[in-house]
Amino acid sequence: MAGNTRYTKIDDGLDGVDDFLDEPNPFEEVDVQGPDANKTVPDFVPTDHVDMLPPAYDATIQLESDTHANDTNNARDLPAGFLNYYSRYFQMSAETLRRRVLSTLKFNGSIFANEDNADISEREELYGAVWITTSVILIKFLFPSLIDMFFRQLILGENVGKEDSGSTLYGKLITSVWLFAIYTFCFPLVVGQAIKNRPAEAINQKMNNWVNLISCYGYNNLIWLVVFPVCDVLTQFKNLKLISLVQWAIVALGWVKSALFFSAHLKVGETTQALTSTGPLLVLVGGHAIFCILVLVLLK
Amino acid sequence: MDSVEADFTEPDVAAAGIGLQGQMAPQYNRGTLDETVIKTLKRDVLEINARLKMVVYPHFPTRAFLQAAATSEQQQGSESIDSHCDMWAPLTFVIVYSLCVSHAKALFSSIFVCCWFVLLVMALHLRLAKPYDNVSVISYVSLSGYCLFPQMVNAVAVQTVLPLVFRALGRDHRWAVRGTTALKLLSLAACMVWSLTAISLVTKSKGFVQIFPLGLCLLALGWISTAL
Repeated sequence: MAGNTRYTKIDDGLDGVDDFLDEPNPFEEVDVQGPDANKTVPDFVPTDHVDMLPPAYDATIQLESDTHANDTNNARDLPAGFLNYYSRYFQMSAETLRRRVLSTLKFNGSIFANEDNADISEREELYGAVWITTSVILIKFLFPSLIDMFFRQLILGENVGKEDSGSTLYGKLITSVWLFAIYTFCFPLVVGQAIKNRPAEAINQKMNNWVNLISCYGYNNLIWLVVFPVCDVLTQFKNLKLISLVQWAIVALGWVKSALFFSAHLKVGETTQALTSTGPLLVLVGGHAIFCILVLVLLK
Repeated sequence: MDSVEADFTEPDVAAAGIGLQGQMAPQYNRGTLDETVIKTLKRDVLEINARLKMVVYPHFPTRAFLQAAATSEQQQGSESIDSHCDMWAPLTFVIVYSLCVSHAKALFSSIFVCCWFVLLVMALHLRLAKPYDNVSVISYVSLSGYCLFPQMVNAVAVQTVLPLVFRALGRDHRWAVRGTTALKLLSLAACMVWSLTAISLVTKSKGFVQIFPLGLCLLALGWISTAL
């Protein structure tokens, strides 16, 4: 076997194993020493065993929350082209949602009331605007046919032909989608231009933010969750002459509630004096009146 | 003579018998080109069924059933669910759903687009509400599409099976109308709970804020198949 070493000394001029034959093999030392040969590990500093204990439960939770806080900060640094940039507008707790919904249902209630100490990530949100509007559209689509199904098919046992009603219902669904989408997400941009550059003593500056403005319009749509079902129930009695007038009156009541809601958001502090001298409220209320008429005409 | 070239070839080591030099030429696996169409379809259907076993079947009809029937195999499989994004099953479910609801008439295209729009909205909601989960939008579209399976079952039952039963019982019979309507509503409720449970568990959605929008979207699809 010793004679074979002279062959390994020959350099063939090519890159390969023979270029490293003179260098020590790092793996051989490990084999020679074996697992019990030497227990010392290089760069190992012995420490007290207390330091090696795993973190407590609370500490682990703290670490996770820190990680999420860092992620949130990273998301805030993202440019607007990224999807994660918009996730900040959809992070909200059920408690905040409940508080804002209850505030909307009150007369003169504001969704921004009692939120000065709230988490900044929850102050600006679009979750309510998007999903309340979707709920309204779904109610408008669902309720008339549900009532029809209950009264005429389940109770009276009438066979209702669906050839025409199906496409009419689907057409109304599509109409309500674009009508509410334009009113809730595009019209606030027009209102924002009317509010823009108004002095701080005349307009609540929170409404200068387009996210808050869209939120305001979205939560205002809650009123339709009451108005639509009532009008749909009344439609079942369409043989009566006054039903149409009653429906218009109900929508007008909804419009009054919305006007109060908008004025509560525009006013500064507790005074309402600034509202009478400014045009933005007229733009909001006038736009809402046109929207109410369109809803009654197109979705009837 | 023209021949069909495979898109890619990879050596099939087991079949080639490498090491027996001169005895056997190496064979190449030519993807699905060398198998029959039936075999390909069968394999795809089995794959879809295997994924439905992980995503949808165990959650029928409610969450309580899942807790009793959950196995370690399903729990292991749930980790691989997120990274898998298969669109064949959602496409199949959407086509069947649209065909049933539209009766293959003019509404088909509208309902087809509407279904994909709803799936996209659900995926975007999940992505925006759970930005810390490392799941892509396309994976959420796939998962939501799989959870459309109960809605497809509802559409088939309500638009195809129940009308046939209704016709057999007699169109003018009042009790037949009442029974069919009640069955429609029951089917809607059961399939609604089924798909909502499946999607909330598979996507690990918790709380009203995360689950409510999913319920809205599924209710819209369920009601379209019931009312139209």
